[in-house]
Amino acid sequence: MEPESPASSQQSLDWQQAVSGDCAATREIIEAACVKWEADLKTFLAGVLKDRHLAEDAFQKTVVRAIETSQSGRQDTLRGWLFQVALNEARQIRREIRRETVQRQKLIDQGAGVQALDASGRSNDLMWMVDTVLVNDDLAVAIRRSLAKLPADQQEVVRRRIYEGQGFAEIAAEMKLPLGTVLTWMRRALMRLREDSGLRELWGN
Amino acid sequence: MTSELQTSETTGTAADERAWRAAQYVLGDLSESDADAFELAMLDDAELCELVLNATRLQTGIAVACRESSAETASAVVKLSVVDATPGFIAVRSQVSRIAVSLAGLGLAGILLTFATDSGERSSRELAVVNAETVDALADLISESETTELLALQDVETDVDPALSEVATPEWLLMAIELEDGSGQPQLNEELDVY
Repeated sequence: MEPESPASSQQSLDWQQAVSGDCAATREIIEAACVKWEADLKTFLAGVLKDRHLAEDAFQKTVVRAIETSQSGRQDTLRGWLFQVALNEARQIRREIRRETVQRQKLIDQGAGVQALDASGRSNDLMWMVDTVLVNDDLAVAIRRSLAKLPADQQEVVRRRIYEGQGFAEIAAEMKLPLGTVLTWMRRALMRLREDSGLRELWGN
Repeated sequence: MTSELQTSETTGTAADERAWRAAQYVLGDLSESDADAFELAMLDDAELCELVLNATRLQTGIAVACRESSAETASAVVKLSVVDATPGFIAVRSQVSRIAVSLAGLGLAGILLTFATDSGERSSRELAVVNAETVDALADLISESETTELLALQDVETDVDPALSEVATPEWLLMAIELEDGSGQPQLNEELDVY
């Protein structure tokens, strides 16, 4: 699904229209909104949960929860409200994971291949980014072009941190650079990529 | 004008700071308390949710792009290996290999020859020295032994009984010898034939 401008999407699905109608109409509008913004919601949830499969689960729960609680919406826009519902569902899932951390840790010790989680139930493994199906081919090509425009050092820092999952301290040590320099390069690189015209056009921002 | 610029810079910096914070949140670089605080802020700030969405899209895109670059690099290496094994390359490589092996063989032969020659010369010289010593030793030994033998012979001659120096040969024996030297042999054959 092609990413779409939030502004234009918000115009097509009016939150007031959704909450002012009857239950069936509201449900229909919310379902349509979830379908329309499915990719964005899943990507957002993946960013929160750091796990593609958990993000899928959270999205399903978000759709159900949104339909159940449509009358209690406080956000100005339907899209914003859906993100709020999605974030709440993600946090709920993480709380459940946190409760199961001890049990999961036992499974990890037994070599069951469960993804490593820290005590907070958050994953520090960035492999979910590589394993994601949320990125289409056009976006991957555009990002590769944008990455190539960056200075070589910044490319190296970005690649090491995001693709190889190295920590900033480790990167600084291996590249024989101060930690502050590495952080600055990472920040500059991400800022340049965010402002890249090709990517902005693709994302519609 | 200046205040407008300052406001713009401040706004830009604040926006960048929020975007960087969102990026750190997605990377998992925030502490647990900071991440919780950030999520609570997201609940009341739809724009912050959009920043997290963009950060996630960008970072996953970077990860996928890096993965594809790595895969292409690996693929190029494999292709190069495959191309290197094609018949054309084999022919060229074969010629190069032959030349290399020939040169290596020549070099090795030269080294061996040099070593052997040097070793031969050295061993000959050593042998010559040894031989010379041996010859000298033998010569000394022979001269000593000759001297000893001569002395011994002299002793033997000296020890011979003077009575034996002049042997009295009987005449019949001398006669028998003369007969054998003359016509004695045919007679013997005739005698053999008779027997």
